[in-house]
Amino acid sequence: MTGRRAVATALAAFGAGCGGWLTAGVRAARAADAPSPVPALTDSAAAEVAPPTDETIALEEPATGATPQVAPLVVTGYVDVGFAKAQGNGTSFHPADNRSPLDYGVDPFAPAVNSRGEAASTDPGTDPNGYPRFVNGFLPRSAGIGGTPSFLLNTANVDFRYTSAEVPVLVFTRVQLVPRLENTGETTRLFLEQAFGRITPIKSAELAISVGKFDSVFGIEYLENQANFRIGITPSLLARYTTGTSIGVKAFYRYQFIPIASALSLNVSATNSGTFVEALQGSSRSLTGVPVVTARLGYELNLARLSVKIGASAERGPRNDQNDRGAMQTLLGADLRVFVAGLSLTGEYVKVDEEEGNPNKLTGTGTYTFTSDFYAHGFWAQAAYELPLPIPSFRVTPYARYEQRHGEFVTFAAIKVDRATAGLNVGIGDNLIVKGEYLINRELEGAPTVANNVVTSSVVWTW
Amino acid sequence: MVVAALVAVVGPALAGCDARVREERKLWNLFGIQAALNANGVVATSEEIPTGIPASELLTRTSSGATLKVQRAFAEGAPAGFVTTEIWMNFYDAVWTQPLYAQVIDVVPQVTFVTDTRVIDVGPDSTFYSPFWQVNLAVVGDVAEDRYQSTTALLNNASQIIPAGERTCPIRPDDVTGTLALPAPWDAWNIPLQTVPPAKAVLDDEGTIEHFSLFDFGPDLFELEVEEHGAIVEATPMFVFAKPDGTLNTDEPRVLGAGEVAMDASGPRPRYGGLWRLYKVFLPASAGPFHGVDHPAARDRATDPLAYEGRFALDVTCFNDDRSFPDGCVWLDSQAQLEAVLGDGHLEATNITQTGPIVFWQKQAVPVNQ
Repeated sequence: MTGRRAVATALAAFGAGCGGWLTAGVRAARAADAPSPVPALTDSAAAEVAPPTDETIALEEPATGATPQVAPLVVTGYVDVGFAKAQGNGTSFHPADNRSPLDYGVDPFAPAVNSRGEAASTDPGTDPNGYPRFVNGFLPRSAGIGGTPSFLLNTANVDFRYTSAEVPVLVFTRVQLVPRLENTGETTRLFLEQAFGRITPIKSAELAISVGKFDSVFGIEYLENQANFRIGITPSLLARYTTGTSIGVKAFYRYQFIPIASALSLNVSATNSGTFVEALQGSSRSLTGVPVVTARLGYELNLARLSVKIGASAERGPRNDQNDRGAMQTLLGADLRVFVAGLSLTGEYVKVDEEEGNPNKLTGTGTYTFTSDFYAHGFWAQAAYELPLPIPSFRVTPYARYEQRHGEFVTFAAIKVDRATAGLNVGIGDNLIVKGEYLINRELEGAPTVANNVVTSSVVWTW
Repeated sequence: MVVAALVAVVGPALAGCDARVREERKLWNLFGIQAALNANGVVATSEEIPTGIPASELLTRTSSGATLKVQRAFAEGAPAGFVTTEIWMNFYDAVWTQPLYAQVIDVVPQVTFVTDTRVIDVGPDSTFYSPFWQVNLAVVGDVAEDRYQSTTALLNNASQIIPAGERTCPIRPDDVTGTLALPAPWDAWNIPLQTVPPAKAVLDDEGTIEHFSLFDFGPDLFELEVEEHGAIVEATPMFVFAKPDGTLNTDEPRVLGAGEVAMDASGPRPRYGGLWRLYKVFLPASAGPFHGVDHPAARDRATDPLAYEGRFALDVTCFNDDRSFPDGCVWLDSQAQLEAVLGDGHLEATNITQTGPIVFWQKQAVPVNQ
């Protein structure tokens, strides 16, 4: 599925979501499909503006003017159900590895099983004395299935979008339910993925200012955060640094050079925690009092049969897993997307540098001892090709991704891992996507070899 | 406009910034202590020890380098001695064990080592360095001594990894030795102490092979306790008397917390003392240490006056009553006595922990690594 298709699906999903108890909203939305003040060059160009969610739709609406034709409140969502099996015990931990911290010497994020990036397990196990092996918070969320094949209700997602009738304001809330059977019993985590208001203050310009909890602006992988927009199932090994949502203020501006079918865009945010996923840095409050500034500068060329997008991203600010505002995190990134004749080529390079901070690290998964001097860099590259099938509403897209990550907790361990992913995405109409993929995880340097490959699948019902 | 909007939001936040909050933590190992010794400097400078501890209190210069210096203490009412190889400042409860691998050809019919050099993963430059090792036998067959020099290689290639207990083995500079002797004034007892056995280890630092020397204080000197995210080395209290200004008086003998001691023909064998947490002892104004030079009458009455040198009493006036000395004094020379006489309110944990194997107790040498 190409980016173009992803947006189309998003738009369709928006409409389909109104097909039930918000029928009036569907009609109104279709009536509002009038040309926008500054029309997007293509659907995929609209994806450049923001993730292909309701934000995109809002940008294409008239900023001011006549009484809106859409229902003020629209409710949509999706349900992502998976079935996954990881090798071994579902972790990246070698059974005889007793280094402390255990999670610093391997990649605990490698055996991902779903679009949330949850690992099959993060259970550190025990040492020869029967004591739990020590971990220090470099951990993803866990699906908790270990090496046992299991169905998972990865995410039940509900989006609420309210469009003001009087002013060019949109209010958006994304709520997710994540049921898991923990060792302590059944629990369902309620996660507020996004909650923001956005104003488009200038009628003649593509300028949007958002305040609240919103998507990352770093790189491109955040565009596929949600299972119903992701071509594959699992996020890349670099996603942990770039795809987290956070709270703050964001401004997007794009200027189009229509004669040369090009556009430049700038997306800037100042947030509590930057773009690390919440398992590594919580976003609900600033621990330092100083925001993290993130920006992406993008260029896009949109021809009839070819679309090329490149971008450069940067982030700088105090790490939000500790309270020393002088302990900085710096991210640099570059991204590329090419869409041509059904083929989608995407890739990203990311470099991360975190300075050592104060002890008593606080992450989304708990409190830990130290915040360590950390360095990482890596890349991912993905190819997807939507087969030219003559069947309407039936899309088959094989895809493959290769990625490599070098991570180092300074003076402790430096590791290099890679991963090859291959999968198939089958879209049926606008409401159903069936995906399956296989992940081959390898420990190239520094980390002991473990069996942590994953086979996983996902059925995404969009409503 | 974008910039203006960001400034409008971010500006006030920045304008309201408080000063940077920074909690410094530091680990002094024998490399750092020796460097301080060579510079005639101090270590462990902190709020509790503003002037630091002279490195010369921990190491003694020798013609070829330095050797461990025994520090005086009292434990369970008896003179004791320990050595310091590491000091951690602001590490909270965060001293772990690290794995150490001994390569063996096989374990049957007997354990046959490939080499006497052990493989480790964490060196002295690391925040996560620890002298407390989980020893493992890695069965690798009859291979060259330098075939495997990283733990990753051993984990990937060993046919078996067999746990073999824990040992306390501080990494040391090659020229720091473990020839021990009692310090003054207890050197007058002429009690010989054992030499700490050496050991060797190798570490693969991203392809660079580094060789290290270690001291081997042997097994069973620490225990583990389970915290929220794993097991850590449990620290035993080591009591340091406070000066009137509240800082630690590191010039006088300390009091070692209670622990298990096995006794046999070769001497006392403490089964603790690997890791200590320093506790500050707030004293009443009447308390103070005994020094024979200041109270010659009392000194001359005691059967073994050296055994009381530096020992704190609750009321120093007992030093003046030579008729009842030393039994007439309330001595602060054991954990139980401190807790009973002073109470918990006078004992305050600090953020300082240290390695401190006991090498002397009850006027006997403690067998090291036996």
